[in-house]
Amino acid sequence: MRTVELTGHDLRIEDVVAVARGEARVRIAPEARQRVREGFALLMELVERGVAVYGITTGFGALDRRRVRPEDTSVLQHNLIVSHAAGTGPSHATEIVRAMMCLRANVLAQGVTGVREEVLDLLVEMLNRGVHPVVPEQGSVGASGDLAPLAHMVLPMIGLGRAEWQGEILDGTEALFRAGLRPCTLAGRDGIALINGTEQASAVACLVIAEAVELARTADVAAAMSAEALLSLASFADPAVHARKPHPGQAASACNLHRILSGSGWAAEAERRKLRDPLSIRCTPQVHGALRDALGWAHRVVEIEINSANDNPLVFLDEGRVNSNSGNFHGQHVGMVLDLLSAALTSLAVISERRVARLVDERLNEGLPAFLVLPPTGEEGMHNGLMLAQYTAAYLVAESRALCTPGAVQSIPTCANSEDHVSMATVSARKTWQILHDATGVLAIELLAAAQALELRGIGRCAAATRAAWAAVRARIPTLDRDRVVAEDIQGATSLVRSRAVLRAVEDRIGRLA
Amino acid sequence: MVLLDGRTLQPEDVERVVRGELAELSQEARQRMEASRVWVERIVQERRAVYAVSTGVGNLCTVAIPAEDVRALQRNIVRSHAAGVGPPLQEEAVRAMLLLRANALASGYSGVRPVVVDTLLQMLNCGVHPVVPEQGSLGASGDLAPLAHLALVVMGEGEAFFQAERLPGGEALRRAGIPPIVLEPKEGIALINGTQFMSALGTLFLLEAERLVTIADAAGALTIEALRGMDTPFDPQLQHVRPHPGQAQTAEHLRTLLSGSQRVVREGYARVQDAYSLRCIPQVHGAARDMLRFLRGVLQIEINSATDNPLVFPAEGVVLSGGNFHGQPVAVALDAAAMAVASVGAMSERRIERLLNPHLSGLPPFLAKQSGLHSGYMLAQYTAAALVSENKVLAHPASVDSIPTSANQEDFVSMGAHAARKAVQILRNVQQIVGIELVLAAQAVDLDPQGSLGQGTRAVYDAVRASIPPLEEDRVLSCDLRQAFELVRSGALCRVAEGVS
Repeated sequence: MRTVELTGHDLRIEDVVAVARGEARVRIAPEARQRVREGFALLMELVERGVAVYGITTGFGALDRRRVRPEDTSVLQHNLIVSHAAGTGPSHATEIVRAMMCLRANVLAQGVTGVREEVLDLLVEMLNRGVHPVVPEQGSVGASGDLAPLAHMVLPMIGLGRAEWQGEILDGTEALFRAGLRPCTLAGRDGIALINGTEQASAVACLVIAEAVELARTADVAAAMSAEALLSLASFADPAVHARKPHPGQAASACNLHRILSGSGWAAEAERRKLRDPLSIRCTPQVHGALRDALGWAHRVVEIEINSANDNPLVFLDEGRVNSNSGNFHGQHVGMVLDLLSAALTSLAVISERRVARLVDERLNEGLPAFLVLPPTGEEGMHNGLMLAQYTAAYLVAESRALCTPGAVQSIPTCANSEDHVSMATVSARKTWQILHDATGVLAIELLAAAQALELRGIGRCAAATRAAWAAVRARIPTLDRDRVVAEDIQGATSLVRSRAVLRAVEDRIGRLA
Repeated sequence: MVLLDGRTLQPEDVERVVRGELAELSQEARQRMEASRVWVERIVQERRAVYAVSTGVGNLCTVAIPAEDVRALQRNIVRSHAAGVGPPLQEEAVRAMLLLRANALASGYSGVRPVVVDTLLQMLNCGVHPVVPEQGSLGASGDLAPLAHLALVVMGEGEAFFQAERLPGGEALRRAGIPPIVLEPKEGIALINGTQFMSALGTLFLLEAERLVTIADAAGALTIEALRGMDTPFDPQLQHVRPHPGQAQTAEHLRTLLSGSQRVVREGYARVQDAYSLRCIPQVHGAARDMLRFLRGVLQIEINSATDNPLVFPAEGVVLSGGNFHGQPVAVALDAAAMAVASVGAMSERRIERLLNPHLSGLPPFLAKQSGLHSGYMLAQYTAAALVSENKVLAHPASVDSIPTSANQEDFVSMGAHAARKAVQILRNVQQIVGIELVLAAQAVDLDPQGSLGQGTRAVYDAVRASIPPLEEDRVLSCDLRQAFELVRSGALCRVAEGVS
């Protein structure tokens, strides 16, 4: 298993995803370790000199004018965690919890938060040994940080709360114990340093981006299959066209489509029949491309975010000082890019569903049978084929559309108005996660319908790449020649999208797609 | 025992059956069903062209089905329409769906054999609960996919939960001693062509939401006590000159809750007016009550309707194709009711803020006994704010969306299933928010105990304190929050709040 070294400055989304999925371990870089030690020492020195530091010598939020005695600091940090563990709703999937832990450890590794080394080590060890705190999804307003979810992440570290270990949900202490770890007592500013950041929304964003990047590529494959099955021209992907509108995502998608359709006998056949195709085919590069560019932007923003000091106050080693009046915990950046991804993923689902509707409609599908089922002689009208698969796609699109109401504009003041503008990035994160799954379902349905349609059209004249894609679908889902429970086929196609089996089959044939 | 006649089912009956009461088909309904079945069999014998009996379905309605295939057609309809995705629907909603579909068929216009309803009711009574995926219905022509997953089990296919085990449908029926059915002509389409997914969720939503508003009154009243607010805005005269029924009802409930209180103040005593979140409870909760009353009326009609197509009218001797499966009436009402419930939550969150904010409450910050070292209930308001915000996104109406399906034959659909799913999520969020208000209001009273509570608010306070102790020092808040949610959701608190009205 590979190891991701956390420096606080160069964590990539790909690393986070590998850690989240249990494919990599993490280690704190030696120089980071040194900075963490120095940061804590500086903070303690300042406190001893009588400098007021928010969250160590004062209460939290609007309680910041209340002085806390130095001997009470440890109790203060403990109280912070328990009182901020106010989450509600269903628990996060393990991969998101792991991503949160990894991201917070990376922030702490910067050495500007004043956390103690042993606390950081405990967090890292929990991650490496698979102790996964139970974190409720709802409750963060996305400033000052994802307080409630991160506090739930910390509970097992101090022997409270609950955690999953090897598939079992246990009391926090028991989970640590079984993994050979012991809870710690918080001191200094350990408590606030562990929770004052955007790691819940960022964790979701990392996983959404990683999934969506692959989904965008699968979408090009599915669209190419639909295009061929609908006897479309290949000229919509003509590189000359896209050179004249140089959005990078559009170019990438067009290039993929051009490559996938190259050598298609059906596209050649189309040239003898027609001049133009409908927009759900013709504008595929423009729509898929817009998603790709949104993903590119989100990638950039999120990689800055996960390598940032998402905390307050911050200690500055070089200058020997602390700033209590800062707001790097505010999740507006992540919230806004998640809202953008909501819209972009929904648009992908919208155009894919329209292609599905064309595929199943005998008046629009260039001579294929109604609902893509060719019934045995004498059973005409008896089989409904993929009629309902399109309904399911339509449902998923409608749900996604409704969820596109932005989260990041929904600020509600908190903390007696001291935190009077918040990001609600978690609202954006939760709905984007749902939209990602809905869009995956729609794409799966398109793959299912397009594979069936290609087979009815004739695999012999297909392009090499679409033939490979068709074969990958058929390796899992047999031809639909009579009615059966459609949900099982949709489930099968969904796992083909998630496992990227179809994408891999195409790439094995024509090389890596953009 | 609830007797189904297809005409008189009440939302409360649905809840009783969901909770385990038995249901049976009435004798009168059985006779009506038999009469209309005779008609369907005659049609089959005479080989007349009737949609989904002797033709294909959806856009395949122009294709004639040969006589020897009319049974296979029904089986195919169910299998091919079982296209749902997503997590399995909760058991209580599946039970409500079984009951509501049985009642729709009991109306006697679908032309199915009584044994179909008997089988649905046996499944219900023995606890065979089909696995129904939550996503996939467009709410026209009916909740096809979810109902098809339910119908699969009737045929001995699909999957079902039985005694907490997830089993193949045939096996679940066998263990419960229920014979599967071979569907006769018309019976497949009759099982799936209706609005029972959205109506089932809608009915359960309605009853919980009605109780929630009553509890929200109690929470608001306890906050008024805690903040020493006024009761004059609830004076009957004020309601009389703006006679929305829900407003008057809310004001009366608040007066009763607060009656006998030594803590509420008269106008002009401490201040002239209270903030809206205290003063305007009758207007906001009242609007929600009226909207829920509207939803109740719609659902009472809907759950006693023949939502199938085509429908058989034996008295007139006709079979008619129409669109009674279209969920728009339910979808629109659910969207509106969900918005109304979201408003109750949004107002409660503002009272939560007033309780915690020392500038507005005059109480210790965040209701902590030693604030600074302790953060008290600071984060409880964050949680409430996050839920309110989520509700704003979810309140976007579903019923204004429509995506054409079935090759444009079904070119305007209701999206009522989505309206129902998000209404339930909004309800859960508001149950949590109101639970938070109750906990905070009780804590605020503890911190400033001078003067006795009203009769109603006293009982509510006691009920809260029976499950959640006062906050002496910081502790894991989510445990308190979960307790408060259960207290609100179980409806136990509703009985306390109503006990005085």
